[in-house]
Amino acid sequence: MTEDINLLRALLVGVGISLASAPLGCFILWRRIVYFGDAFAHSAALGIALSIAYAITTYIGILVTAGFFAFILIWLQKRRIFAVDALLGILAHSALACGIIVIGFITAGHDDHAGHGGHGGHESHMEHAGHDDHAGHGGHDDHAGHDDHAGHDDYGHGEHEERNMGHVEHGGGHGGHGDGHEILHDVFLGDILSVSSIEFYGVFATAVLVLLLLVTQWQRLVLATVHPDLARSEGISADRMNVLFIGAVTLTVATMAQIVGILLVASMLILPAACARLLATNPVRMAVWASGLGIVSSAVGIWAAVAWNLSAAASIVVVLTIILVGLLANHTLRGALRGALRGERG
Amino acid sequence: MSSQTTTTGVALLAAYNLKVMLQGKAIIDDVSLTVGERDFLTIIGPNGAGKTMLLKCLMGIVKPQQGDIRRSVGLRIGYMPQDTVIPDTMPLTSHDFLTLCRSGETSADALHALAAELAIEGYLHQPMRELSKGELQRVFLARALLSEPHVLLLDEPTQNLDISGQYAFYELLDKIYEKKNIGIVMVSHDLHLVMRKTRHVVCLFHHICCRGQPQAISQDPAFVSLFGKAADSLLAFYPHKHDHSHD
Repeated sequence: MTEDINLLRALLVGVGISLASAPLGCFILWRRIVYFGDAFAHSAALGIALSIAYAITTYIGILVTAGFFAFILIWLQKRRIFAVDALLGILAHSALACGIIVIGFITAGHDDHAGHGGHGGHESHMEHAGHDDHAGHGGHDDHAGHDDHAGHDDYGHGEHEERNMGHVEHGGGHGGHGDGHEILHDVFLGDILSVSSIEFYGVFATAVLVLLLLVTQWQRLVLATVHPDLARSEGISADRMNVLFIGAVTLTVATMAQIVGILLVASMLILPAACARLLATNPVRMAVWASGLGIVSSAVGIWAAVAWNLSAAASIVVVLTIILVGLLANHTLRGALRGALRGERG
Repeated sequence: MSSQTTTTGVALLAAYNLKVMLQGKAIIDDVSLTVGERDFLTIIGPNGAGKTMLLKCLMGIVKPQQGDIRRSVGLRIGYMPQDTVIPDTMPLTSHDFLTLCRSGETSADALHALAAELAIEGYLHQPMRELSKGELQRVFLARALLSEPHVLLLDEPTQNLDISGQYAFYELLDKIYEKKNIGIVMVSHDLHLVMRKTRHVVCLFHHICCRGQPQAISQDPAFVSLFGKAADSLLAFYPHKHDHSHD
């Protein structure tokens, strides 16, 4: 029963996230600021860490740090000391590093005390760096390749289910906090299958706000993206559009960060837009295609994740990648065919 | 330097003693000019002379630290920017570009009439990234003209065009100028072409070095010192009568 409800919630969350992130992803693609989503997502690590440290709701913590991050970015953009990509790189990785350190400190402190609640059946892993005693569980290899996780495949499937339920009961996201690596695992890969109530409503509030912005400001946002000076000359404040856009991305990334994990936020923003780029003939259609593909692939990805016990966010991204490869192949073949036909005629 | 450049009619757009500072440097220094109906004003000057900045001030995009800009009531300005590129990651046809933020303002008939006039009908529904530079230039000019402006501001409109493209563009611009009752302010580097077609030249290097009719300005010492050899070649292109002889 709970599982069905969780699945339904996950599917709805997929729809909500796609509605907000896919059209914004189009703007990110048009503006050539793909690193942007990535950088914002990385800053969320600090938000998660600080909310654990001060025992506030994780979502609020992420919103505050991402908002602060956006503010610094807009301010520094105007000062023109560094190029924007350099700025984002600096800010994002500083925030990520600080987040990891803070999480390390918190969990180190927790480990000294017995009974850090919420996750019965979890051993304390902090002092066993690199141990491998539950090797071969499969399904959780999705963080392989991250040095800081190597060799920590240490919770079984049963435990994973239990962990999910625990999350729902806690409501506020990362209640309990077993150990540093487990928290980091969630920070990096999220968990769309165990979304808390505040996150659930956060997704839909975000979708409504972003869609409201896009519907009312669409033409202005597009013109300011096509040519900022031309937009300015016609009385549209390109700077205001920029702030609104950054605000929307900040809100969306903050909402997505904990659900799909900070590693995959950028791909969830970009991939639907990249697929739509190959299908659409105008900006509106591109945004609609991107949203549609986002919704379909999140449904397929979540289904696959449940069926084969995979990371849901990673499954969604893989589905999107398969769609993109298919579309690219189709596009290339068609181009080649047209070229060949033209050659024949010539 | 406060002499009015209006040669005919009423002033539509006037700037008085503008000064724009950027990082402690005066990009625009005590510049005044006036644009009236049917004025054709060309701003020439070396790179970094503040030409684009001056246009931005005239449009109201940049607020000068000093000076005053006056626009006649209900003035519409058409602007053609220096770089006529659009993001190639965006699927956008010329038609979609021209109607962006213009729905309700421009009728389909007016759009098609203008498209015919500028000979862009053939690629109106083609993606903009497939257009040549000359074609893009015309589409941007169409956007500038679509609001039926009183004043047209063009920022190096023939940049990146080959010589025949430049000729073609200036022919088109001339046609528009003859037909429509508008004032034109154009920034240009094409000295030889500018001097043949334009009616009034302002030579800018942060401040206004000299201004006047092409014939007079091409012999102005300030102009010659600013453009050096280019000025010599310009004189070769410019079909002017010698009213005096050099020893």
